[in-house]
Amino acid sequence: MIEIKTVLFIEDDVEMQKIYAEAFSNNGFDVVSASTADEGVAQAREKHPSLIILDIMLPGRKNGFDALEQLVADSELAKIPVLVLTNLDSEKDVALKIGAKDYLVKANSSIEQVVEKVKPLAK
Amino acid sequence: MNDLEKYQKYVKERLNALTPIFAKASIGDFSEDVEIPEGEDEFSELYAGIGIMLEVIREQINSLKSAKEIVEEEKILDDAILDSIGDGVVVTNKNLNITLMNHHAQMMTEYTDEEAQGKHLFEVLKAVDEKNIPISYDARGTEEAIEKRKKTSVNYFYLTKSGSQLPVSVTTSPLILGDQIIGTVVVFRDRTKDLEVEKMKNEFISLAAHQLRSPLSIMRWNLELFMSQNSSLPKKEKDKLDSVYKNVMRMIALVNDMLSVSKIDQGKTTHQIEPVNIIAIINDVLNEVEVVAENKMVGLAFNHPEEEVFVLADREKLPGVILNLLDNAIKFNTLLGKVEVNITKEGEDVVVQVSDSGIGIPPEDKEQVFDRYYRATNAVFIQFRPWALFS
Repeated sequence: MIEIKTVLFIEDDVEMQKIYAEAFSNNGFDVVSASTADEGVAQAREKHPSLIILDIMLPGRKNGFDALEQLVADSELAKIPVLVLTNLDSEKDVALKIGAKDYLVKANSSIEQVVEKVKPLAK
Repeated sequence: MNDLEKYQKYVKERLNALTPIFAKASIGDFSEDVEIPEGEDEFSELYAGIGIMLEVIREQINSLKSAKEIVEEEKILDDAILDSIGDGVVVTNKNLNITLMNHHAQMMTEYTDEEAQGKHLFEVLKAVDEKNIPISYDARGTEEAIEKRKKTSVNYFYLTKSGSQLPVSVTTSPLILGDQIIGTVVVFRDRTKDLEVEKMKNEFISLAAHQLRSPLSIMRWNLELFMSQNSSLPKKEKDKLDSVYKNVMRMIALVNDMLSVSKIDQGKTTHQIEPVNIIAIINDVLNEVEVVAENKMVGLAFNHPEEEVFVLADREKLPGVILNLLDNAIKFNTLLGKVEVNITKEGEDVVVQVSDSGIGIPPEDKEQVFDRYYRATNAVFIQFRPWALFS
């Protein structure tokens, strides 16, 4: 039986969520979405996804970096690779330093590139 | 009393009559008039001469007094003008020792005129960059102003007496008398407000550009998903979608250019210099522009040495520079034109040359090619990304 991988998207833009859901479902992934940092961390604990795709600018008091720090600090969640997918292009070093596995700028990547980037990380 | 004694007495009296006049003159008082004695004798001419001499001295004193008053009045006027100038003004002699500092210069540097007087210009006006690293003497513009006898303008920071940084725009002019340089005049303007406005402008551009990227990403990805799932669309509809996609990508490129310019303006651009394979980088960029070149039927050629060529550059940013050059070379080319990239080694240097058979840049416009909003005067009919060369 083929194991279906779950990808968790922490992304507040509903339009983006729809695109992720469509693109990743088409590629055989299960898709879970969260709109805030807290919701994202809670979903990670509950669903144990194979990979987390994280935006940086999120509503509320916590941003993507806060979520990343929480994920990295949690011994169980720290194993889940995190790909930061944002439209900010100057935060790559910070994200990688905290513990992100990779960093992509949304506008400068095709959706196919995003999916291809995720495939090896979600193993 | 014989005649000689009488004469001696007469001479003595005549000379004694002059004593009070000379006594006053010795202390600078030339107001006393000489009374010329009645009758004519040897002393008449002497008295008249002394009278004329006193008159001349009085006139000279009066004219000196009025000249002094004029000079003093002019000095008061000059000081008032200098102090009313909103810029700092410092005047030096030819050895660059300060001879004058206006009110604003004193306010800005925190040195009083008395403290600055006689000190070397560079001792009082300490020029540094934003990281507090001293600006070299030849980069200050002072030496150039003296050597080339022309006005120089440079932007940097002054360190005030208390050690704080003041952003300034400095103009140095040589003071020339005849053909001799007798000193310099340094005029500097506080750029704090300019920098604040510039910062706000850059922050706005940066924010706007980042905000624009989100809807553009959604448009891009939706189009990509739609096109990948609808490969058998009629040609007409496919062409329309391709055109929309192309223009979305153009907008993304424009936003990226805006962000690059904004980063450069904010001094946020950093370079990670390391040896990079220039041939491999150019080949990658050539692959990227191949489709655009084919669409315009522009031929691409790349001439390079057989062996690998490494240059010291930023691996992330060098492709952007090459891309901008190639992009413009293709865009401003003629149908069936040619773009050629040549790599040659010149001693320790590597020269990358991009040439095209396009409309070219008029010689009079070449100096402005690195200006941000520059567009060649002959390029008005051709679509252009305004920031394209500014990487």
